[in-house]
Amino acid sequence: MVAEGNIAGLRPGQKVRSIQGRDRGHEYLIVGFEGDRFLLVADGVKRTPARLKRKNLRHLQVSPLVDREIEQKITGGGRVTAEDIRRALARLRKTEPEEGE
Amino acid sequence: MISRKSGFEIERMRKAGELVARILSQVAKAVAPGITTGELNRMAEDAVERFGVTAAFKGYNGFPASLCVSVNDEVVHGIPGPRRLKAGDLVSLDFGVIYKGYYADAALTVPVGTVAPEHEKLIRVTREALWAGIEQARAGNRLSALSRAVQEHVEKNGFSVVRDFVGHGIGQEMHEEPQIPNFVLPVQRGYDPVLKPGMTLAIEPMVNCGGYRVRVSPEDNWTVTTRDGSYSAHFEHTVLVTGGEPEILTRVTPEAGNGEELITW
Repeated sequence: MVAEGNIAGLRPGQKVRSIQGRDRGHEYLIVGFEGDRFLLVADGVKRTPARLKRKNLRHLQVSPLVDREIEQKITGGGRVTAEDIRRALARLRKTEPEEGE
Repeated sequence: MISRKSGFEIERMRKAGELVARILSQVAKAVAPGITTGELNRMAEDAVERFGVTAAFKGYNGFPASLCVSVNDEVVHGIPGPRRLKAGDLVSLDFGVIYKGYYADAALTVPVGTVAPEHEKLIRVTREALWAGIEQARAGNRLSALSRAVQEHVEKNGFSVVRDFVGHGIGQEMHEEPQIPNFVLPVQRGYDPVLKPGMTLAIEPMVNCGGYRVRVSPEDNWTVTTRDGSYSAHFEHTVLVTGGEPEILTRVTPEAGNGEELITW
């Protein structure tokens, strides 16, 4: 029985950074997928679960870091709030200090 | 984290795999014009009972049957029922069991009677694509080598691979890490693990005659069909990565086969 696939092993809750567009340099978490090219991302501030940003995969740099709490919530069919996203991004920044801005 | 199985775990998965191959072969042999998809499921369920194992799909996320039967433009996760097969149909059978806590999973597509040459080719190419992928399931290779091999073989032959569903690691769970896409992205991305001995992978290309886009039935929330209505085929084996040749776990050894005539794929 096949598994539902995300784009090439990317996971909800995984951190990405914009490398193209006016939001260049901005960090987001993956919250959804659209087809095989687009990701739906949020930062919990300007881009909330109610107002997701749709980014082309080509315009993102993907970090290996995944916030498990967000991943579990999303894959479990639960809802994430803007606050959840902000907290998760803060947690991930702590685990990756060399990327702190 | 991709789990690597120990000797006793592999032994259990071999046993599970052997039963999957045997039962699927028996069901595939029964495919003929006039039989219903529900009767095929019944056969699988009877066999499960006879062998004293557990059907892996029944109740999995609420799936109502032991066998997935997907006909023609149905790609995967077809729910067996009163539908009667007729000559010219393509029928994909996907089946798994749990033996002492360990899963094995396999699938094949068989023609019903005589089918269109294009569909015969679809079946052949999908099966070849599975084997192109298996060939790359070697320690030291990256997962993307496997995905690429499948995709190239399919596209070279003018068909397309489904993107929304993927193969998977398998073992104590039906779906373990990693996801095994049957395609690679135009842009290389971070997550691309190196395969190691002891990893057990369910490799399963789903191939469409037309475009790769699919949709999930809003009625039953399971059946996946092609968007353009083109026919689809699906082959799968559960494979063990070793230091050398990949080992197919979902097959029947000649000794265990007991002279029984089996369909292999």
